[in-house]
Amino acid sequence: MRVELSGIGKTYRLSETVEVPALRDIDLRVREGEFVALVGPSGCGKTTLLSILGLLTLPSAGSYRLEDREAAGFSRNEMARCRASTIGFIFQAYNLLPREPAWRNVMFPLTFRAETRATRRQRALEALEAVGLAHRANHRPAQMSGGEQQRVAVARALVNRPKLLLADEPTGNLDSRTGRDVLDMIVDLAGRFGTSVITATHDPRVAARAGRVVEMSDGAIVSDGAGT
Amino acid sequence: MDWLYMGGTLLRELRTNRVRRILSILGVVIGTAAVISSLAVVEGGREQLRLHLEKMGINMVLLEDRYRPEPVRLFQDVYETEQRQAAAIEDAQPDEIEKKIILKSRASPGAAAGQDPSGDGIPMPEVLRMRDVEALRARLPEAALIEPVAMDYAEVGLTGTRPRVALVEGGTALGAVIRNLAVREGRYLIPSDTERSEQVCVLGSRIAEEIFKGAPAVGRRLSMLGSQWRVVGVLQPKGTMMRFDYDRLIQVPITSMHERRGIEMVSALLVQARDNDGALALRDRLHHEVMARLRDRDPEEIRVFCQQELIEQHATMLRTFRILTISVAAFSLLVSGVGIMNIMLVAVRERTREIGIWKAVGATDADVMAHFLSESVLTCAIGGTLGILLGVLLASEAAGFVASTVAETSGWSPVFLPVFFGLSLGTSVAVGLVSGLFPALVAARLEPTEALRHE
Repeated sequence: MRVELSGIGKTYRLSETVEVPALRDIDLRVREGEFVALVGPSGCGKTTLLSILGLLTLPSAGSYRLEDREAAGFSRNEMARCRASTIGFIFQAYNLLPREPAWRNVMFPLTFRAETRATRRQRALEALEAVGLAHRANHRPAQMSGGEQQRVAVARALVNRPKLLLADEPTGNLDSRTGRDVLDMIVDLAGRFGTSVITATHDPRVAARAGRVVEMSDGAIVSDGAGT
Repeated sequence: MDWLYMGGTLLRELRTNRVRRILSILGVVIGTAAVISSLAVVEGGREQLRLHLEKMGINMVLLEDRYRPEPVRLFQDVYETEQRQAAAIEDAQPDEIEKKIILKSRASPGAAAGQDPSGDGIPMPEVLRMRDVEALRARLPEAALIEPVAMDYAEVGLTGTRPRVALVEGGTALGAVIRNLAVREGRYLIPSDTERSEQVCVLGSRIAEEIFKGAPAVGRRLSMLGSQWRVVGVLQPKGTMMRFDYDRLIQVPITSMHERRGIEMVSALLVQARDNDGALALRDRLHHEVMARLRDRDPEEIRVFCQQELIEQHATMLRTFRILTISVAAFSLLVSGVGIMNIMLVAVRERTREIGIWKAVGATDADVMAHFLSESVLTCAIGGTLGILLGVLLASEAAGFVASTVAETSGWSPVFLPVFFGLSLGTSVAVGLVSGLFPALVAARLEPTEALRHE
């Protein structure tokens, strides 16, 4: 999916008088199927940028075009619907629902769609199979290792074939080998569906896999180029 | 939003923090129990009133002279003591009670023989006599019927057995019509019984059973008031009306009773108004007319009351009870509503991160709100269901309590109309909705980015 940010700014108001700028004048275009790594020191605004891209929060300034729609002026409902239909999230801390078994975690994004229950369940199980966890479908997150949990999260993020996959340090909590497996899966599955991937990362190996590395510092993009 | 999926999530959540949840629904349980038992007890009371009306009719007026000649008073004490003891200690030694009664009756020589009470030195006050009844009939055309009744308490028994004290009522053939009494065996009093002062009697169903132990009573003879009386009929079970146990009553012709007692006293008048609206006016006219005849009597001793008043008393009592229970219900529901709101706020706080996840994968504010509202409604509905069960179990106790403390009747059964279950469950659901609204709003308005950061 084409994503186009221009002049995006985000300011957090701490009080009446104190405003903290988190993002300043961000211009970024992502083509369909592109894999972009956001790198930069902690607090440079990567997560805030992902939140804006993922419609979890609105920018304070600028324009955000998703395909042909202007998303910067979305209502809360429009944001939610758009998240459900076109965006997938992967978090550093997995963020699975602790009381639900794996398959229900994966199926959750599909519950906002008008498909039959059987189809949804089928698709959830297929997604679990795609990440190699079909045999763990009935396990709860606490019964799984970190790598397995993150793979469930990957299955959840991709189960509704999102056009845009946003990942915030997806390998941050995993050992290098597991991290590589999870990354392989993301790349493989996103490639299959033509999903654009934008990931924030500290991990040079993740950046190395990306087709494009965008470096941020202090709320602004300082370099935008091919991965090293 | 897939409601079945959310339902599954909801059930999983209800299973967590069970102790906290149970504590928080206690108030709902008590409140709902109060609601349903109150509805059922009041409905039962109405039903009882309806039955009572069927028995007596709304147009009845009763006049009662509270004066009792000496022998009657003595046996009345014995009779009432016996009734109280029988009710209080069912497993007490019956012999002892009977012994007391016999001792007491013997302590007053001549009482059972029916001597003139003026013999003890206290002059008898003016009382209503049969000719007064005739005069009243002429003076009160708005009364369809005026029937005299004489009340007495007497030792009753088969010859050669130990007598018991019973309530004996002297009346006329119309007594059965007015009070809707039905005869099980034999016949009721007939006009010729009164005209000729026949020594015949009609027995209530329980006293007949107590005296004759199941043997046929009609045609047998009873000793009472110093002579023999032929049993001509036994009544169908009737129960208590106007605080009067018809099943333990012995009815005789009023004229025969006057003859045997040697006192011509009409102790009560059963009066029927021509129409229902006239009953209250008739009550006042009746009292006035009777007082005009008994000039030296204290008006307080001559009591009149009509069915309508009793009904109003009964209705007032039911209203009071309803207000009381509804206050209890409202208070406990209010307290529990606050409790539910509190645990829902805690739940929202505890699940903030999950709410963030929900929102990240596409839940709208409305989805989140609906989820938390369903949780509080479901929690309250569980409490409501338990409360209904408790209320059903407690309702007959409550009815008995109300009946004995306020209504002075033998009590009634609660009546559960199907709509009561809906109403009580609806009340608990409403508590869930109201108390869940604010926490659900808090959850719905959470910012996804903030919620996801929550630890």
